[in-house]
Amino acid sequence: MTLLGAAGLIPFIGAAAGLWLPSGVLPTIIENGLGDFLLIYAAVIIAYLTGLNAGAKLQNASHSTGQFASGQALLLVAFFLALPMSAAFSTPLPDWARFFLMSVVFAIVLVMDLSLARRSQIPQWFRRLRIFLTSCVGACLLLAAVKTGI
Amino acid sequence: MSDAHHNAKLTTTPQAGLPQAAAVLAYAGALAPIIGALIIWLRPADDLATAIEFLLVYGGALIVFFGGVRWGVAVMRPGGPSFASLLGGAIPLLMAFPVFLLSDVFTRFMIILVALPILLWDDLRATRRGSGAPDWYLGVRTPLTILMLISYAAAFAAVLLR
Repeated sequence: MTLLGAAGLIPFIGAAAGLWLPSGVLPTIIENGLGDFLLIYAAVIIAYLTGLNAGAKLQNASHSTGQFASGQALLLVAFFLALPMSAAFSTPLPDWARFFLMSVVFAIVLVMDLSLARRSQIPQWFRRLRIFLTSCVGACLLLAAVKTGI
Repeated sequence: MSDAHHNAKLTTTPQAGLPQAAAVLAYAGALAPIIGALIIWLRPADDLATAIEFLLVYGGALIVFFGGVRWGVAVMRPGGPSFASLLGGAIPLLMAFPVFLLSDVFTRFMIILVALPILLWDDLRATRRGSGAPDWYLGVRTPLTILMLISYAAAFAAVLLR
């Protein structure tokens, strides 16, 4: 599981590192698309994590509609942040703010998972893995926010 | 009230609430493809790019979400997840990527129309084996997937006919 989780980090690290490379090192088509790729990939991973959270809750009886809805609301926020500025439903935010808010969404989903772990509904090893992976993702998104905000 | 009856009530009330909570949200989630398909049929052809893009991105997100649910169910298994079950949760993620990255509408619709029934079939199989989600979840998922498939097929047909 750690291996699969770590594999999921590669696009985050690659895209964030690519944003920091001097202009001209990467082919123009890749250089121009790195930011959008990072945001779309982040939104896809949020969809996965909110599904995971819902799947874990399915196995327990003590969850309300509101608790399921919070994950779905975060999923919508993530996709609105990921949509290119030219799209009809996109958020009128600068790139650095979109990266920053995406890292906040990751942090909120982590808190949701940790609250499940606190009630012993998620194994402790999974809790540690989630904290590690989300820290790495948060760092990549914040690095991208800093780079695009300069 | 007897203790047995009281205990039964304590345990069944939240259980009954859970399927209802999940079902309400699941059907709310199905509204988007239905509305998207209706828009694609009813609006003029030159005004559809946004609706088609929204529908495709939403379909990709659905596939990823169902993959996440599989991973969540696997993690919660008493003996811990097996590599195969985790891989089964990661495959939908890989299946959905072309939906986000490609520009060809035909291929993206086809991926959604193929992936949704395959995921449902595999989830039903896992539940039958006792290694999947609870029965009631698939009781919600089955009609929901059919509803979504009809919406996506209708939208795809409209795109092809225009």
